[in-house]
Amino acid sequence: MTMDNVTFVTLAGLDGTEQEHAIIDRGNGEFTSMLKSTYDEMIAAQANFTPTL
Amino acid sequence: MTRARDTADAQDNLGGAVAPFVAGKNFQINGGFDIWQRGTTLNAVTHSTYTADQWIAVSDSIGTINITQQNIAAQGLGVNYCMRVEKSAGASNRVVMVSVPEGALSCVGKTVTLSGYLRKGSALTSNVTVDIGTRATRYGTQYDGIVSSTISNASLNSSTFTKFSYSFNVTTTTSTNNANLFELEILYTQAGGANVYLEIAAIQIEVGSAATPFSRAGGTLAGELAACQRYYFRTQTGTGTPYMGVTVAGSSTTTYANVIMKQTMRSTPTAVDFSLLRWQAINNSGNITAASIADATPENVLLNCTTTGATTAAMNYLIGQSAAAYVGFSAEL
Repeated sequence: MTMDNVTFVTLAGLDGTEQEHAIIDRGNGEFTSMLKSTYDEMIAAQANFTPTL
Repeated sequence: MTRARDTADAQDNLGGAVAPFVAGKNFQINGGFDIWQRGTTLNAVTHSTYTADQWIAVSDSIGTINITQQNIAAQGLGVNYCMRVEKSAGASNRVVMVSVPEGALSCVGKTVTLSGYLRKGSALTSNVTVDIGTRATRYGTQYDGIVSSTISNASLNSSTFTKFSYSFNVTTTTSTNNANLFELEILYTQAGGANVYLEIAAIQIEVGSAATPFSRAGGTLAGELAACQRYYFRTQTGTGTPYMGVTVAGSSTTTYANVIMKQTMRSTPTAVDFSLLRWQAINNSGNITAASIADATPENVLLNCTTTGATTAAMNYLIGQSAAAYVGFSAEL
């Protein structure tokens, strides 16, 4: 997943609770969105991942 | 009718042993490369990208990695498709295809066999390396049963597929570390260019010390799709302006869209992929410029969608702007 072009936005749920989300622009009008906390965990995990081979 | 009876009947009919097409024999979901919810032609994929369902492209480098589905029904391998992993440009670096199917804990104390078929592009000169072990998490430490084997380039062919198989023992190291994932890696290392590719087919991970004929993890095509959709579900028709769910506007700039999963997901989805979405009323519509998960269960997702021109509290349809529109939900490992 390309990690360029990430926008962080704060959105309110139905109950008004606000949460920060990461919206990744993958180009060609395609996007992936997740909680910023999930995004941060994913980036940290990928940085540590080395294929065995 | 039982499997034993099916097999016995088939052997009577055919005069010999037959392939045991049994759901659940193969731990590798989508080892036949039937299911490609993200598309069957994926160009310029980048590090840690899901491609065919259950298969992740990992590249230390960059270059141009293209992943495509190829029809190989005529090869007589018992599968219709393979995955072509092409490096069309870039310096000499590793191109690794990874999959992390669940089920290793059920194999503790048993011998497990990995098998599959490989075919090289005419310009592939690299050897191919295959590795399998167990992990607790996708990015975690690899344990137990590690097999790392080089398949020489000379043993591969550019016209027909070459079979490989390796057996290994899953020991208590796997259970001690709660490592329920098999972790399979298939790798080559070469600079990009025309016809630099590897094709991978009929991947199977099964209990036993010998490879048996390929069987989909889900048994049937429908079962395989359901198995894949437990991890990722994308709704996309490829024609018209697909209907995907319903929305209720919270304000003129926010509408909440409900999408029901076709399959109960492995866990609550944590990410949403989307493109070209809009809401549609009888006489009004608006494009959706952003969508994030507001609430979710493994069966149901509520999206917070950014838009303009909505009427507060109005119920609308969630549809696509074009046939290319989609929304996809990830509960991947």
